Amino acid sequence: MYNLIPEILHQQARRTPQRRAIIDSKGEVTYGALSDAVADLAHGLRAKGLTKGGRCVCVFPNSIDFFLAHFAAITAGGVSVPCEYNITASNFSTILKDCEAEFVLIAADVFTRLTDAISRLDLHAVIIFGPAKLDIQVNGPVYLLSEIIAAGKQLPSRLHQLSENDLAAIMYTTGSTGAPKGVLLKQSNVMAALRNITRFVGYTEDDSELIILPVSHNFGLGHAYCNLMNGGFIYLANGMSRIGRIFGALEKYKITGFPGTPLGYGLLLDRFAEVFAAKASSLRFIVIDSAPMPPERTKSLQALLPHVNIMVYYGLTEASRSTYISLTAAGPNYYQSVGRPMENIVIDIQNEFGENLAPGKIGEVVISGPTVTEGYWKKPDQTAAVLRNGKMHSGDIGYLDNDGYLFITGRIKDVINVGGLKLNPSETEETLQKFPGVCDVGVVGLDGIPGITGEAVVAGLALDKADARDFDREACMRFCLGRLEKFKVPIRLFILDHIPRTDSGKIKRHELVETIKSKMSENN
Amino acid sequence: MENSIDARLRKVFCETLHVSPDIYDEELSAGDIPEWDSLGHVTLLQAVEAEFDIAFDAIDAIEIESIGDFLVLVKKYLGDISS
Repeated sequence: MYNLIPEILHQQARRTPQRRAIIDSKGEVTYGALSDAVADLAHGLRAKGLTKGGRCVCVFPNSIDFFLAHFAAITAGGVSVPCEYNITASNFSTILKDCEAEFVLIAADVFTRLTDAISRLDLHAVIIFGPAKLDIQVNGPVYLLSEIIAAGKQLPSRLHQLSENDLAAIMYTTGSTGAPKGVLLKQSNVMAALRNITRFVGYTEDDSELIILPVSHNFGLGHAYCNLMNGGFIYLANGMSRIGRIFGALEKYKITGFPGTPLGYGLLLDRFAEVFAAKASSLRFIVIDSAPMPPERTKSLQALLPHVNIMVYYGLTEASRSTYISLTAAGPNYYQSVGRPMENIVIDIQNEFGENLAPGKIGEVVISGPTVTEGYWKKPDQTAAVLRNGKMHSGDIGYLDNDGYLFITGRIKDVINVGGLKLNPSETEETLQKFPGVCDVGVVGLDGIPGITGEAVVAGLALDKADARDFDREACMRFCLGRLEKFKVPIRLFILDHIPRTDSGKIKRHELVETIKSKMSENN
Repeated sequence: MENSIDARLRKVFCETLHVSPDIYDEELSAGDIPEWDSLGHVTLLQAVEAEFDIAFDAIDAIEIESIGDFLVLVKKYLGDISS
């Protein structure tokens, strides 16, 4: 088993240089060719002055180029800082400044869009992947990838020595609120998570995975690492908007694994279920992450794909892959669980005084083990707020059952306070989700509703097309009143085009609040 | 008729994805702009079906990648309905 991230590629290239490693929209690459290119680029980065631990910001769509840049930065002794290719200029500027970047490695079309943000900083160099004009003025030299590769070939520099305690990546969390925070991930954090995933999923070199989620995030990247570590191959796409290509790839490449979010599987089930089932005959496993999938959806998905092992894991960027469960093996009674702790991971449920609670009692989920981050980049106060005695306070609320299965019931910060009575919006959301015609729902607390003192519960509903015109709000309210305590029932329902969610499927509650407020002002 | 379909499609596209009409182009494809992501695509499919009172077969719908594809398919379905 490997101990350092660069070994993932290097060792596999020595074993099976001719095997296919990655396919993207432009082509494919073998382990041998990718490993050679990574080595050349790593030497080129050193030749251009990359220091030990120097931050290399990598901005690419899901592509072979991303893995070339990411592996090269780490191999050279730097720290990779992956960013989404569709990142806003403002967030990009914040991250560049915050991480004190030395290098920016960037796709040519993204560079054109983000030039302003880059031009304000002093960098060792900007390295552009793809054809680009080099007359754009930034503070520092701009090179094409081919120039750096050539420099690496001609003047191999000595690469920095790596150890398990070295920082490998800073992953900026894209959370639904607040400024981005850089999560520090050491080599040992990443490798501990990869060992856990590999063990649970049971990867072999015969596996191939379709990765539609951004590899600039831990979920997509972790699956890519695991597959490459075990000698399979990955097919990269950017989301599912070009769904015909996704189905084509599933069939053509006999894909065996398809990690995704509840939102993504929901779209497939609602619109393309029969085609999905027909194209997915080679699928062996599905891994769901980021948000709980409603049990009815899991049941539908399992019925559609009875041969597929449906798995769920729970984790944060700060504590990757903490618990895992096979819903297929555990059965419907556990469809709402996120499983039991991985090897070497300890999950505690604590009250607000930091005391561990007994099974069945609801409290904050607290995680400890080798995957837990050392904190946030240059943010000691925020680090201290979540990391106490080496334990990560997740901000998630949940409970353990008597068999050690973890159930997540909500987020601490999402709790709504209705005149002293506290509720978690997820319970109301689950109830509303069951009302006919509701395809997605988000519940928030709102101040300032005329006639209401304090915070009140309101819901945004996205409806199935056929039900939008005849939706009966009164019946929906009665449905909730029959199933929830009264203070948990929304006082107003707002019909929306969609519920704003992050790429990983989490509700953007601040954005939802703003959308609902603007709906209210339209109606007044 | 063609202009009418194009104009209606432009309106639905811009309203559904909350983008400026300037961006509308037959060559524009899913994923080219952040608003046209996975969720945006499915929402757009539904909005186009509602606007033209048609229902795409799944096998046709999965092949739609661009505004041009939408135009071709909408015309095909309206032609099928009128014939």
